[in-house]
Amino acid sequence: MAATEQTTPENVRDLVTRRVAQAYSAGFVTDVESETVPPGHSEDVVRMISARKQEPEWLLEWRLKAYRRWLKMTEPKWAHVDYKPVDYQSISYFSAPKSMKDRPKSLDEVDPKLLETYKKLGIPLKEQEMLAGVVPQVAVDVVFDSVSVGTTFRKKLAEAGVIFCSISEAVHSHPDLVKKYLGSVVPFGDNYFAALNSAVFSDGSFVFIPKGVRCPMELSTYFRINERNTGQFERTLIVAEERSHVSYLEGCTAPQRDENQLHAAVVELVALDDAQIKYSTVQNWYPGDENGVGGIYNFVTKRGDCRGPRSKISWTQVETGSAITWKYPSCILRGDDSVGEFYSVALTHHRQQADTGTKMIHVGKRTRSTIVSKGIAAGHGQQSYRGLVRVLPLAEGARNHTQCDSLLIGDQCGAHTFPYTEIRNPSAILEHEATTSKIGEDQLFYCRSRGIPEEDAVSMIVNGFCKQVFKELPMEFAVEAQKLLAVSLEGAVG
Amino acid sequence: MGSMNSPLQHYADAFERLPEAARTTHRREALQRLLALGLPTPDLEDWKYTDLAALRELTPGPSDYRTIPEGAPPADADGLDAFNATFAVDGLDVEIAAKADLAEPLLATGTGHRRHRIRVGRHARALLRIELDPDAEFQTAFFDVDLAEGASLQVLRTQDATPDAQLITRIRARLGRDAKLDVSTVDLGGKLGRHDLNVDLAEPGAEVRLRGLFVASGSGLIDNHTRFDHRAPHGTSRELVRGLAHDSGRGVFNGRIVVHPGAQKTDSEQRIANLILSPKAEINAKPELEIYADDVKCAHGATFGQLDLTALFYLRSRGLPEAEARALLTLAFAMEPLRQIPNAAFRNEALKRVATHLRSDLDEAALVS
Repeated sequence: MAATEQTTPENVRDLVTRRVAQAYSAGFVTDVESETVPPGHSEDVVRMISARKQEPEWLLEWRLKAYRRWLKMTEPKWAHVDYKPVDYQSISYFSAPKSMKDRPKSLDEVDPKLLETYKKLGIPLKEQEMLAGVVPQVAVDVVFDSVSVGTTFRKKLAEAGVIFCSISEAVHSHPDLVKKYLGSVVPFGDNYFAALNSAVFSDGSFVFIPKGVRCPMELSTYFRINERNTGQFERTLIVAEERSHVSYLEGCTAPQRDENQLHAAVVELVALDDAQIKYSTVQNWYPGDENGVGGIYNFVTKRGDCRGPRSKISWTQVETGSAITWKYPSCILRGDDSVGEFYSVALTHHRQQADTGTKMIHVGKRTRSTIVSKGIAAGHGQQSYRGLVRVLPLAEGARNHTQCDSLLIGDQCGAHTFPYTEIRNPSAILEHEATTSKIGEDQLFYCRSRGIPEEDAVSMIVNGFCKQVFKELPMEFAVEAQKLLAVSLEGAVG
Repeated sequence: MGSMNSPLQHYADAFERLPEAARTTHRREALQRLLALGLPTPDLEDWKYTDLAALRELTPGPSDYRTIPEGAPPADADGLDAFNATFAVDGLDVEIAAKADLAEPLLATGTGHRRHRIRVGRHARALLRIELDPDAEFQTAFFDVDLAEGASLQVLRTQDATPDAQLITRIRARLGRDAKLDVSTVDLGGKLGRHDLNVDLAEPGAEVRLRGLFVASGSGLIDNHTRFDHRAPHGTSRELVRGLAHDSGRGVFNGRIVVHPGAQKTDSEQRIANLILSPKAEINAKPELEIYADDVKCAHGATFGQLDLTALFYLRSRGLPEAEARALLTLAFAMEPLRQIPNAAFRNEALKRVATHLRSDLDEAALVS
């Protein structure tokens, strides 16, 4: 391409104008000002999204390559989940912030069940409105405390040299960084859903921690102003330079409503020499009703690359939402002595199905990984752990410990374990342990004989079961996660 | 895929070359299934690590075709099952009377593809010894086993093959109430060994045990797949497997336990331990659990590691050269599952095979006793 030598703002704008014109000449019929692209997937849609976001040419090319690859791929079928096939032509691949008239006007119009849940979780009224997508009565930045908090935070972060913004913003403000790292961990053709995401990603976060900086606070998507509308194809990129450190929180414990059924996010983490990234997720998308109607399909690709020696990436996740989850946060342990960790609590209730786990790819010498996975299945829920530990021939002295435990509540649910181990170095040491159990009647009896109601007893036992993972969460998250688990399990016993 | 000349045509041609008497309706139906399915390919999860490409062109030559047990194919029969049913030359077809107690093992040996059927009557006891042709370029042996209420069958299967042998076995067993199946396997040598053990614990109280050892060496591949279906309450399953790989050998162990709805009080345990002895060797292990009942005890474990350094130090401090000490510890590791084989003749045979293979220079007698 000729236009890559310089990307000044003027340059970019020029390009965009040309691109938009091109999209039109290709026969795109919708009014450019409208909020949503009509359903269907085509190159024009990809061009349209890119043009809307005024993206540079290289990014459009990248999206198009991803789209063309996606066309040649087929949807994976190996996951232990069962769902109605997704009609990719019925999805609208770009929706700007939802139109005002579709939203509830006040909390009175919101599903009372949802409000009840908010109440149980102790969420303030204003935040309830935000989560339920109620039309703000006043301009956003006046209403929400978190916004002003967000602004103060931004200032503090800027002083430390940390970049924390939306990825669309970063494409313009830090094009070199984005260009260098985007797709370097999850290439555009990595898998079916990653290719789809690469072609049409809407927005997401970009974090850059410069050399030697310890990020002064935990970064949370919750504080980012436009987080609510990042849409269904979220893309997150976190880069930690040499000797830096960052802890990132994604999601929140309150149930999130969304009209988009398919969510295919991509998260890429890059840790250079001695850098540490801690990524915590609480996922609580709408799981559908008792019969599994509605509910989000959550097909996520998350991967961290321990690129430098002695780097460390740690994933912690609490997964309680979504109808179908398909998610394997992974670590590529490339640098010598690098460390990968995966701590997970996944809960499936009613008709929820989750196929989740991790991949630890040991490339460098003396690399270590730890996997702790706790699966809880209740009602008709189906819970699968699927993990891969691969030790490549040059990974001298690699070490892995895997523990995955399942807890079954009721006799209609299922808990499954599919641990792959592929070992190609004689010095590797690995242990994999898995157990399956149910809540013991004697445990329940003991609690009840001491006056603890059955539901509280169950919640107590479940929390004990998950403790190993909860202690990895940032403190305030851990408290919420416990509450969340109790609420999600309501009605599971008795 | 869409070519005019089917890549499977050579099977049909080979079938037409069979003696007139061998082209039974049963074999012809199997051929139709084979032509529809072909041999499994690595994009099937169960064949992820094993590519049968080298076997695709091979068809059996002339042989003395005898009658083989005929029965409806299992519902999930694949192309390999169809291949075996098409080209099997012979097989046991045995029914053991109720309460009989066979002292001598049934022998499933010989050359050519084989298809066997073994029925063990109520409370009867039997032994089955399986060994494929150690020189076969390509041999398959399929077993259809049925154990009635309280029946018991002990199986010893050994593969002690030459470096070019390509051997495939599949044992499919159905266990009635309180029936016991005890399978021991020793896989040594060969270019390709693929062995499936599919057990249906169909009625309450059934029990299955597997004790296995595989040693992948040279450039050989040994792939063991087990699938135990607990379909009734109070079933028990145990798997104790050791895997070794040296040279450029590749080993695969995939153990799958499925506890179906209603199979309460299932008690299942799977232990797989592996030792990789050379930088070019590889082992892929996957102990799978699929559980649809809540009152069960299921545990599995898989480990990879090295010889215990303190044990090595102990032996060396008593004057054993390092190589000797290592060999001894490796042998002890490998033999662990086989020491518990209940039948003495089977146990000694298995241990002797391992000892000869791993340590021809060490005193066999001392180790086997």
